Amino acid sequence: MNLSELKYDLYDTSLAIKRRWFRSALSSLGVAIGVASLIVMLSISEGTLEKTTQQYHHLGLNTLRIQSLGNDNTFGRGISEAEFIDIRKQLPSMAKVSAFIVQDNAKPEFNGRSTSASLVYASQQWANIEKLSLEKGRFLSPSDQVSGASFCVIGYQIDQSLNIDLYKSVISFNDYSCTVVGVLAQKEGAFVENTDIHFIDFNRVIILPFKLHPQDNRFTLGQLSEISIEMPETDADNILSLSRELKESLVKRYQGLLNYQVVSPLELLNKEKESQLSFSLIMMSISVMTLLVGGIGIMNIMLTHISEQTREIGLRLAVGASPQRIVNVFLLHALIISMLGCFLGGSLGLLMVLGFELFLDWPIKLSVFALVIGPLFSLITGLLFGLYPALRASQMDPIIMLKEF
Amino acid sequence: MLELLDVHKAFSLEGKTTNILSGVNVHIDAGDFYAVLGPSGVGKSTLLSIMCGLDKPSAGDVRFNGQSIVTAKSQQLVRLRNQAFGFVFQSPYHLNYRTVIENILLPSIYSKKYSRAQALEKAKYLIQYVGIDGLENRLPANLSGGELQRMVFARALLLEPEVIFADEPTGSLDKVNSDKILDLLTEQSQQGCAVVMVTHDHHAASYATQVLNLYKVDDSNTVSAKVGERESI
Repeated sequence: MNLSELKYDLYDTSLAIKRRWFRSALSSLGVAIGVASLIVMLSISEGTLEKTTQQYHHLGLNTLRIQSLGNDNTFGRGISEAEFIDIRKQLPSMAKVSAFIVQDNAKPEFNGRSTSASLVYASQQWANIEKLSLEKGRFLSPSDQVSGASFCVIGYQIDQSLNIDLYKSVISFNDYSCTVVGVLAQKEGAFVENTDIHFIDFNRVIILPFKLHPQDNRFTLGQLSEISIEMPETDADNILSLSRELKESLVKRYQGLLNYQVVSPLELLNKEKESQLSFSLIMMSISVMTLLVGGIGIMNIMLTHISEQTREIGLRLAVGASPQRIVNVFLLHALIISMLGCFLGGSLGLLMVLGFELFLDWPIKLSVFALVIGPLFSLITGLLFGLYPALRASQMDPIIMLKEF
Repeated sequence: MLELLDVHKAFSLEGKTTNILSGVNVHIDAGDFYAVLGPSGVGKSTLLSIMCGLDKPSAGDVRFNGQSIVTAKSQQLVRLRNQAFGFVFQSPYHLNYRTVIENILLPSIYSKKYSRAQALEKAKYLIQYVGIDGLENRLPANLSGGELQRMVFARALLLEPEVIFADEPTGSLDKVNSDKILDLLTEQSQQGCAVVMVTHDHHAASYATQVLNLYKVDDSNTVSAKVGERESI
């Protein structure tokens, strides 16, 4: 088919659609709904994945966390110092390791003001691994850690509530007191929905030297809340294999008793991605089914058009149109209807994505993938469901079509 | 030019084979004006369809310029129908959403014989020739039956065919319009174009130079043809 033939057939097709615009618009609705649902569903899926990914990034994708499940109300016990030292020995020398103990429900007071906080007795590397930064002042120094000095670093909200003077203010809580040497910059908590990962609100923490913990024999009682490990680089294989090794050795050590959980944000993210992929595939399947139904609608309308245009097709064949040319015209017709549906569906999908984002505050991200495969699927639908009617039209007998001839 | 050699045609209907045409032999030369006559249902239109390659005979051969159109490939037949044959149907079939001139130009859309400009020039000439000038930009719905048939005639002449096949071209026209169409067909045959016209109207047939009379051979409805001069009608 050359350009002038294409131009003529396009004009012919546009006239045919114009003559039956309402029917053509109706038949394109199936494809429109399919494309719109494809865009919306994949955008929701991608938005959810992006939100989850951001949450895991907050946890640090190159970190591993061994979190204690032992507490006063269970038969389990936390991780002890000896176990901590043993675990440390298994780690590559490049890994940064820290441990901390959390006590919730503290009521720090200063100058008659009080607020709520979580006390975190953390080793030196902790702030580093959690990527905490300072609003003002300094972190606890190694000498503070060794001496167990009564210094502390507080979260942003605690500073806002207590209004402290750096290096001067002494805040008191739980029969202890400490001088504030630093205030953390505001930071989102390491919280991931639908997981058992412990949540720490960094804006409401009071970080204290590890030594300051009231129970000197804490390790033997096994009260460590978490051991945090940061690998030097985000090498997925290393982190995932280390996670597996740690789990295996801990299973041996505790003989299957669930005292701990090994949390690998990367592993969780991978699982999340897998489940999101399944979700996306299901959503895509539904949309493709809708497109197929739309395709059947197009085929139906094309067959109706052909039966109405029987004499016209017969005339064209009689005056010299090749069957190929008739196929081209009807394929073009089906393609235009499906692409019209694609345009309608694409616009509707974009509006819906925008609406969900603006008015419902859903985690939604416009899926570029859907914007590519939407038209592609529409094109395939048009071709697939237009081909049979087009072939049927081209193979009709012109004598029968013209009847009287 | 166009030869029918011992053409037979049989139809199968509900397992029964019915012979329609039996041993039709005709030789049509350039400039011949043939009227195909015979009672209704005798197979005149079927014969015409076989002549122009729209239908195939059950046996026998149809040759155009020495080449069999029975064994011709589909593409060759398409080209033949487009460039060598012109068609005037009893009903003036047309594209109702295209203007008169666009309808006349239709065969050129499927042909490389003329450029777009040449085809347009030819179409304008034919509009005048068939006497529908001034109507070229109207839609066919706004034309009378006679004007429509003349438009169809102009379309048949666009690519200067060697044979014009006309199936009862005056069947739905009044006398004035019938005579106009018949005059145009006569003029074409005088200019060297062969004309084959199916009709059961003896007035229309009187314009022809040759007659192809279809008649029943026996009680089984099988039909053969006899060729004769117009005077033999």
